[in-house]
Amino acid sequence: MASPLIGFLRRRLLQVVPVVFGIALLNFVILQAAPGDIVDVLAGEAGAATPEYMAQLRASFGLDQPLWVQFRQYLLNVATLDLGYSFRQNMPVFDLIVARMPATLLLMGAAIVFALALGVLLGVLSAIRVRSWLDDVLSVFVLVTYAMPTFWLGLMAIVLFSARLGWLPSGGMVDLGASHTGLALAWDVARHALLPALTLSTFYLAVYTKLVRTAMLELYGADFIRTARAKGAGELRITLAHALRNALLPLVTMVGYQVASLLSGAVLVESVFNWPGIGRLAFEAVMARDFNLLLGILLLSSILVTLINVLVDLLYAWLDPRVQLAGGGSA
Amino acid sequence: MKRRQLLTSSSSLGALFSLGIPLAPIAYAQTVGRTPVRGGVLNVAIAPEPTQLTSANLTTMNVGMVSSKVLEGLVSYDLDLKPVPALAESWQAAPDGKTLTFKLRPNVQWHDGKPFGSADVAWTLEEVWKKLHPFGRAAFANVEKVETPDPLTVVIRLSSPAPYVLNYINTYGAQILPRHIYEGTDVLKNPANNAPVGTGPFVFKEWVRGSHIRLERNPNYWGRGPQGEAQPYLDGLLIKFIPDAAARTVAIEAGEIDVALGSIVPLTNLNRFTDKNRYTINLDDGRYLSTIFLLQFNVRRPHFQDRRVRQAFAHAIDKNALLKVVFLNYGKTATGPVPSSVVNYYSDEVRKYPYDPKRAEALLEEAGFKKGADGKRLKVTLDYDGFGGPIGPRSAEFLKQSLARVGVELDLRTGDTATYLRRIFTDQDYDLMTSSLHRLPDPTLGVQRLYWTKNIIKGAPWTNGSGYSNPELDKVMEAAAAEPDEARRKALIKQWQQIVQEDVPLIELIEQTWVTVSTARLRKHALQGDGLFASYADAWLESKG
Amino acid sequence: MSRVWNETGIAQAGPDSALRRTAARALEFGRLVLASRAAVLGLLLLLAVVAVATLGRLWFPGDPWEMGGPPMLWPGEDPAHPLGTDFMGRDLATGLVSGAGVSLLIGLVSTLISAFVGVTIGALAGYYRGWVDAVLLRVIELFQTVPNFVLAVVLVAIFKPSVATAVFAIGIVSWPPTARLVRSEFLQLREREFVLAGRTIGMGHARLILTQILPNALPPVVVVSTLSIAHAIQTEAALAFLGLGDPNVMSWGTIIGIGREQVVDAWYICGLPGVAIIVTVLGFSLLGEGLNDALNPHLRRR
Repeated sequence: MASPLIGFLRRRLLQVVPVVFGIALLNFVILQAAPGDIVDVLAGEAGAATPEYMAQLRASFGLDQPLWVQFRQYLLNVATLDLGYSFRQNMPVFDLIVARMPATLLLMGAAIVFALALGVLLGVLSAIRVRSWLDDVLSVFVLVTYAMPTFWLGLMAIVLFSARLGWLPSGGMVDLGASHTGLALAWDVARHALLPALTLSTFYLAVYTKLVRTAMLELYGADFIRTARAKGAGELRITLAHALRNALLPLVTMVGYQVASLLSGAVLVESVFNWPGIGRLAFEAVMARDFNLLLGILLLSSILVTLINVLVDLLYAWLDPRVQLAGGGSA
Repeated sequence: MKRRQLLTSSSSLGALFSLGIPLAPIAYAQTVGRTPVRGGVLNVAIAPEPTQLTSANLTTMNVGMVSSKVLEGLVSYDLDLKPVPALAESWQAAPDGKTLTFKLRPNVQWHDGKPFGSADVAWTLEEVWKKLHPFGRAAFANVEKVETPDPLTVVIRLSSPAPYVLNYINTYGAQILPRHIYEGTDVLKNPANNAPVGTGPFVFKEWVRGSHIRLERNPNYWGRGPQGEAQPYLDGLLIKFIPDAAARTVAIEAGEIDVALGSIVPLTNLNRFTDKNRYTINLDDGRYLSTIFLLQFNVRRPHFQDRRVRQAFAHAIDKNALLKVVFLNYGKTATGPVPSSVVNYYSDEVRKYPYDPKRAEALLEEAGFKKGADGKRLKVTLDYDGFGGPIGPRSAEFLKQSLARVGVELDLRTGDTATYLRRIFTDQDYDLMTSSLHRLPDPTLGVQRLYWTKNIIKGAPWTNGSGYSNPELDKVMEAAAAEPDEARRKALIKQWQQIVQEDVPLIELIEQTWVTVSTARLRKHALQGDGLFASYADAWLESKG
Repeated sequence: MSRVWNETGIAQAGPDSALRRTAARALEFGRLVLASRAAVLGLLLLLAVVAVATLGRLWFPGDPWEMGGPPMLWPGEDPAHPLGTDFMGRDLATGLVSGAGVSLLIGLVSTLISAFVGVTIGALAGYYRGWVDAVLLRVIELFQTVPNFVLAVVLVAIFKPSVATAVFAIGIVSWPPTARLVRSEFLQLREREFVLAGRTIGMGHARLILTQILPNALPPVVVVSTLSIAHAIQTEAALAFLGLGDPNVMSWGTIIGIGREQVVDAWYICGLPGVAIIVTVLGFSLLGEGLNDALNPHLRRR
């Protein structure tokens, strides 16, 4: 039991290497092709600079080296987990990302929890009451939420819940004026996280609801479920348990696939809600031509995505003993 | 539909005089109070997040807004832009203008306990202001020697008079750094840039990136109130970064923010703060900067070499409409390169360019740009910084509309700051560009750089990007820079404005007002012309209720 | 998945019969699609959007950027501006109508690009297998691991924000799902009898791929592409909202971005284009669902 697992893990983790290399190359190529560099940004923001000074800065950043030298140096650094220094934020990239990553993880985690919980609930509901008015209403709801642009929903939510009703804060992660600790801090963060997490979760909520409903109906069919309902609560519960089990596998796979897109969604949500995560940091890094920072974010988030995919594969295998841990990529 | 055409064909911008846009800007100065209240933390909003917390080597506004609470300069400026003592108690210029003597304030300490003295001033001037600071390089170019005969006296010897220096040396333009921390290190990479040590009323406590900066009261601050009470009155400052503009409005209304500096509250939202009992809107904080929004030609381009074309463009733009539509009347139309707030040197006896589309078209015809079959005479690009706030995109859209009426098609190009700067100052590959530039209280410092032949430097941002070179003007500007006699200097600068407005290598459009929105509970003893960079030593919060 | 087609997939001699067969298949497919409620609803919505984009221009001609009206009018306040104006006096109805054309165009063209790239890569990977497949699979994984939107932002922000860059960027980040789908289709189909038959009679690789396998692999691609268009429209709106849209062109996302500062009181400036996007995306989603139902009749539950 242990050695196939270790073999699987080793193979999958090794696959991270070409991905990392690919991302570094992609990032490097793009930023080299871009007009302007970080020295332009720094000089522009500072208000002025002489060409000599700018040349000096470029030399100190290593920007005047031939491309392949810069790239090789960067790869060597990455291998030792030295992600470089952000010259615009005056901090090591790794520290910057580590400081902001938990906020994004919290947001993503909360969003997934909401999406899964509500998605399963609504999916089950619409499957049980298939073809009834509830099913139709939920179908429409699912379709509309799927179609809504996330950032737009966030804006509308701020207008309603923050500006008009004053129920929830309009942005940020904590109430900075009051230095909360412990439980009070947790409650404060939760209040601030509610709107952004819900906003981020809506798209996925729609997807999961649909998926659960389809999976349940696929297994049993509408008639079977209605019969089970007629037979009584106990029968229904057993049927539900089986049906959910069937839905679990595709659900788990889907969650794995969507981690990358969750990060993308986080960029927009963090921007609208002023959430101090790495999504917004990535946007700022692009604007500032902060190559080191941007690459660091892309690398770490890709590693995160890969790790989650590995976890998902493991979970999948555990849930369905028929599945063997394959080494190659899924088809 | 006909009615749509009716609306668009007439000068329907007059229809703007209705519904929500006030004719005159809402303004009442920050209330000057009498009895200070001790205590409380002031919540300040700035945007975007600064990149460092010292201003000695750069001119970025949001950096200055923070650093000015921790580090200080020799003077600050009152509403008339006259210098007020800060770290310098008194100063004197020799009659020939070649020597400046400053007497420094005694018994001042840095936040780490070391004494402040003339050595700090001398070192910062020679190593930082003169070598690194964008304006300082010009301001202190003539400095031959800095003498420090005793710890409280600084004597600056100049090769030729520099009358602009006294108009300039506050914490934004000439910030004094602690020599004992910076000497011998790489100034730009010194960690004290992110955790500053200063002499100011507030001590740096923490900077949580993406979130806030926390400053606390300096118990050993030298400042004293009118009754001799210790300053600062506030317990501390909490400076928050709120990137989303609408969120700032919401935050002020919710009481999460006490003061929002530097026009970061959208101008269109200012009508929510008209209740004088709850809010104060201040329009004077940015007087020192005297910023002007401009449209610049790349005069290297053949179609812009004819002066008539540039003058035509000037006639085609309705500055008053631009002021109303884009700036919502917060500001003034500009008549030339020297802003009207610089009372000593401003002159409006220059060639004017009233809104006259017919004249614009006539000039373009004269210059040889006839209307083609599609009604277009000329097609050019306009570059603007799309990420420096809403003024860039909106003014670009406005200009596109205006110039379309005289047959000039503008192709708008945006990009982020790096692309924009590269295109204009390094590649010099553009037709038109817009930007906002600070003119400062002295034209030699803030205006000359735009028109001077010697400031056409490829690769360096914010230099003479238009490529305009006029030897006669160069002589006038250089003479004005070195002229110690005020009356003669004033005459030279008047001539300067007249030449520039004849040639219009760039069209000076709007004198921008920097708007500060604050709670009415915030009071100060005196208003400042450089209020954006006020130290807040004399600020306090009235109690609620 | 493609069972509707595979039975008759074998290439036979005679161009007329091939043409007649294609026509018959198309008609059958059309009937299946129209039988799906979802598809019909989707088509109706889309027709409405297209009507707005085209006929709407007759009602609201003119430049959406024209600052001709009184600013900050609410919808319904002034009959000359039925949907209100923004704070610079630009008519919202004109903006929405013009934005319809822009959003549709960008959605369609970028999806064409992503479909083309995805089909090519998927076909090559699925057909040749071996090391070609391994390499291309790594590339697919690479693009799926990098957060798509961030990559799109990078591409557009760095090169000049314009319709062309947006279309290119969205196309570049959207192709992986199509590629995976085509790959798995090809992996299955290449083992089929008709392919083996084709190889026996000496067909070259290119002809095999293009004339035999591809037509059978395409139907699911059509479904995915329809959903892709919806996603592309949303991505374009997000880019415009962040300020990365073409400054000379007004799309729905641009309008939302314009209204962002006024969202607290004049929320209709953000609200209306958002509704427009929802309707359009809904239309494409429903259509995609209908197409999927038509292709998989055995899964239809309704």
